[in-house]
Amino acid sequence: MSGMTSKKVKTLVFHVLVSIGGLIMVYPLLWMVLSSFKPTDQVLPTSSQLIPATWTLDNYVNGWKGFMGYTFGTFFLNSFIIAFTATFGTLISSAFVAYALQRLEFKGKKLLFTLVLSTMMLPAQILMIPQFMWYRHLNWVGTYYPMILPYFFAIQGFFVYLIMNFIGGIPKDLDESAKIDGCSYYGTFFRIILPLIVPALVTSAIFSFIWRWDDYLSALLYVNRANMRPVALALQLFSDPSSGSDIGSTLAMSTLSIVPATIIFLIFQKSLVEGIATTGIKG
Amino acid sequence: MKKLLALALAAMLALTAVSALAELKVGSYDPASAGTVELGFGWWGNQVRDAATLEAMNFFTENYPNVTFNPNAQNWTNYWALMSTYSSNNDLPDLMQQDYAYLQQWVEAGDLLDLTPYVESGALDVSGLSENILASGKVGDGLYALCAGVNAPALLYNKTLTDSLDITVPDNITWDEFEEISRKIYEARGIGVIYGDGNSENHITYYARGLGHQALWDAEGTSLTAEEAAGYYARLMKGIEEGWLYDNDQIANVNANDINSHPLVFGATDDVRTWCAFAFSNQLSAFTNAANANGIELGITSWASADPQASNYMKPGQFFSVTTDSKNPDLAVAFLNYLINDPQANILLKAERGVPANSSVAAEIADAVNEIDPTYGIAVAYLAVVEKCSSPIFPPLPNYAGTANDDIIKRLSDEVLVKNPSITAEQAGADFVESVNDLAANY
Amino acid sequence: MSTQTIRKERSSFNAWLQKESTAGLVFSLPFIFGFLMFMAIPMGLSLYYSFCKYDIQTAPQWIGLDNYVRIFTKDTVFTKALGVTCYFALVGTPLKVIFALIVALILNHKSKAIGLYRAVYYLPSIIGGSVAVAILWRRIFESNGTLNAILSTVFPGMASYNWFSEGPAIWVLIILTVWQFGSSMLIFLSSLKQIPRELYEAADVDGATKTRQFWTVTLPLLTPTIFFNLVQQTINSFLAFTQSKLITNGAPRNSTLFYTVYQYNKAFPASGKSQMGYASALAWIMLVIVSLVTILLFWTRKKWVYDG
Repeated sequence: MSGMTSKKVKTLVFHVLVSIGGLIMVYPLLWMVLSSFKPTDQVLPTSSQLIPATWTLDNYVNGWKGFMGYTFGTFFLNSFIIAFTATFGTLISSAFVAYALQRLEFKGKKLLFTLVLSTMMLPAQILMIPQFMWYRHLNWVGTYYPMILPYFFAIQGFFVYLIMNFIGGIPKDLDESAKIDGCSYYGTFFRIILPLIVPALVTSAIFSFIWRWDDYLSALLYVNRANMRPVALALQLFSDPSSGSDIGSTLAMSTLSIVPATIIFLIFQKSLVEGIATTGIKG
Repeated sequence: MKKLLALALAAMLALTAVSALAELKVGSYDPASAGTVELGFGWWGNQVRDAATLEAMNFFTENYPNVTFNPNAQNWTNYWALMSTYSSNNDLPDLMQQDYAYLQQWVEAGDLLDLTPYVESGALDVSGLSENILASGKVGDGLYALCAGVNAPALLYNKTLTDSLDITVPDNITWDEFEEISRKIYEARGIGVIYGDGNSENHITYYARGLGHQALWDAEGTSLTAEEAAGYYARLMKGIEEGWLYDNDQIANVNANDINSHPLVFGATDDVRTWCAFAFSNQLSAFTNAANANGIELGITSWASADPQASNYMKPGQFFSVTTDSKNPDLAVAFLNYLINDPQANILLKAERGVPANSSVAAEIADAVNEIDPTYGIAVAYLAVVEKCSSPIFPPLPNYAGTANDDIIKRLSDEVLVKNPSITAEQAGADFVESVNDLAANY
Repeated sequence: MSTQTIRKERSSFNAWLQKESTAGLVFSLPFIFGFLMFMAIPMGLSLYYSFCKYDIQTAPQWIGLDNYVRIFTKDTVFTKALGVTCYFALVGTPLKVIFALIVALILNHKSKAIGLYRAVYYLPSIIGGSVAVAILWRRIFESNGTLNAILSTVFPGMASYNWFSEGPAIWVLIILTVWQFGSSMLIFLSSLKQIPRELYEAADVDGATKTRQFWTVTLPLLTPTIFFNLVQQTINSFLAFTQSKLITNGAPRNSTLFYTVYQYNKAFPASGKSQMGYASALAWIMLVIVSLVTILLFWTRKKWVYDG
């Protein structure tokens, strides 16, 4: 009996502590979300109060108008186009390469693996300008190509590595029996491997989507039309403070900008944990 | 019958074209003759400027539907990164906003079009611009930019505060007066001064001009002697010692970049407030909006200097230049002419870039702009004061100036403007002169 | 040519295509092409620029090793930025990994609310390095910000604390990176699930306490994951950019100047001309440093990572 109560007390303590910790974790986000419902001139003076004294949607209405005659609707659509296609390309190509590096023996495999790892170590800022110089030769400036096409070629080692680890967890017998059944390496990949790595693909998709969504540096360089801007870039211009930007609208649009990623996370939360779980990371 | 109708239509079209020409001041080139074209226009700005500029472009398009625009509005930092990248790609917009300080570099890089032939042909009307203002857009013999608006350095201060302490802030304030007032306010309320020395060469230039040098930089380096430079640092160190000048650690704690939370207009406690801000006159409007929201009235005077007349200057604010990458330079010039000379365009632009350089336009739009923005009249009045008590502006900056800013002024500011500086003012002065001259020689 | 030879050739091509070594290359093709096209060429260009004086607007001028010589002999900001970055990476990364591990251990519970808790602890990582988080962080820590407002409500009369002064400023950024421990936490959570229950049961039979079980079972089996997170986060910290660029831009006195920000400011200065050649040289030095650190980490791997 006393064991039962002490267990209950323990559970209660656990929930209280985790909730308090969680509150501290999300406090900054709560602050942003709730402040976006305050009248814009009240955001700073009442920044210590979480709950708005008066609620208003003005910030959303004003912010949504965007600028240069384009609403945030346009910017959101652009972000979706870029993030979705780039993510799709990343998944397909990374899975290909991961399969080769994990399952097949061929010349130069070691070198390729090293190069895959090295792409994780290159900061985007190093390559920014040389890449620009190169893309302008390809006539890609002013288009979405630089923000989409390279991702169809597995240039992010992180994802190759992640999927490799996952494939490593699939028993090799499956490949062998497929081979005995007359399946080629290509068939094995599409019929055996691909269906089994769906959780890893979901994991990668979430990471990739969030990263593409947040990327404003390449958009800054390659997008030269106001109607082609993605949200991250629009937000950055929107919040330019040098002559009194509208903080309420900035917060409102910032809040909206994290909604898609949050929804995606909530939907795939379970398979995200499982996805990584079966990946079985080993250095 | 059909023929008649067609004729009538043609006549009507011609009429509207003529009346459009009469309406918009676009110079001798007829934009309607350009065919269906797109004009690129890049500027740095903010929400207010972006909206105003867009309206001015829309009005142009209404009159010349064959012309559409590709606007490229950025913030200051992104703008220059982006434009230099475009420049490498020969892909600059037809028309770009320029800054006085960088004009020379951009001309030397061959990116800007000489406007002289267009002035001579009558395509570009510069008759409304004063000699001085026009000259500010010249590099060598060529005219590469037209001034979009005139500003002057302006000290914006919390008039509510100074009134409550019975302090009068004079026009053309001297450094001694400024020190005296700052000290009084600090003693009474604990409110100090944010000077912002490390951000740009503006302050030390202003100081140098007060000593009789026209410019801070020349081709060989700085015009200041080591003693003079030491004097600059000494007076700031004195302020920090006395407490009324915030040191760089204190400044890092406040966000002086964002006007809404600028310590001049907003502060939870007195120890993070400033009684004045070293700004430019075209920022008066934004500052006033933010100040009014916090129940503060603002005053305006010039930056403090030992010799205000020598130090102060009318600053041709932003410029517009036609780039060499333009495929329709004639049209770009016509649009430029419209931006500079057309009263309606300037009403739509709200004088947000400064008081229009064309003085007759400035007078013509006064009422209309005042109605939108009551600070316009104050800015105009302030500029009138400055015009009487100022000296010609320094020449455009040499190539090495940006690096000198980032590497030398900022570094010395960080070493000197702190609670326990590691070097003396004399050492800082000597370091400044030596480093700048070294940089200029090796750039 | 007879149909037979064509058939023969086709089948020999088919046989070649079906070979394992060929299939490996075919599957690797996207990366080979992508690496050459989008990585190797820009990297080559950037290496070339690092030996040039290059302002983007005019053609690059070859100046040999000048940039490198200047960086190593004259550039005090370089040393400072490198120091700041190393401090940030070496202090921030272990903190983040340890924090992620602790929270993962706490959240490795069976409970109905656990999905919600995970979401709550992961949310800060979703907004990642976005502009929104930069705005947010400044608002919280600046003198007029939320934290000081809360402090002055709780302790009336307290002067606002200067979070952005030289000492604490870097910690504002470290706290930010630790706050976003979500992805490491998820990876830990999944590894925890993979530990076979039998091991704990066996330990129970042996009479080992929970604490002992943690040290003898859980921790050793987690070391590969700890290593993975450590490598990943160390690289990320060395290349961190957005936090410093948007929140402090190096102030005060370059005490929060991340290396990548210094490099970016050289390439795209707020005033004056680009020094792209110099920035490229800085970039290549960083690449060498990050590679060395990674190699070093892999070298220590044998000493402490448990390979079951």
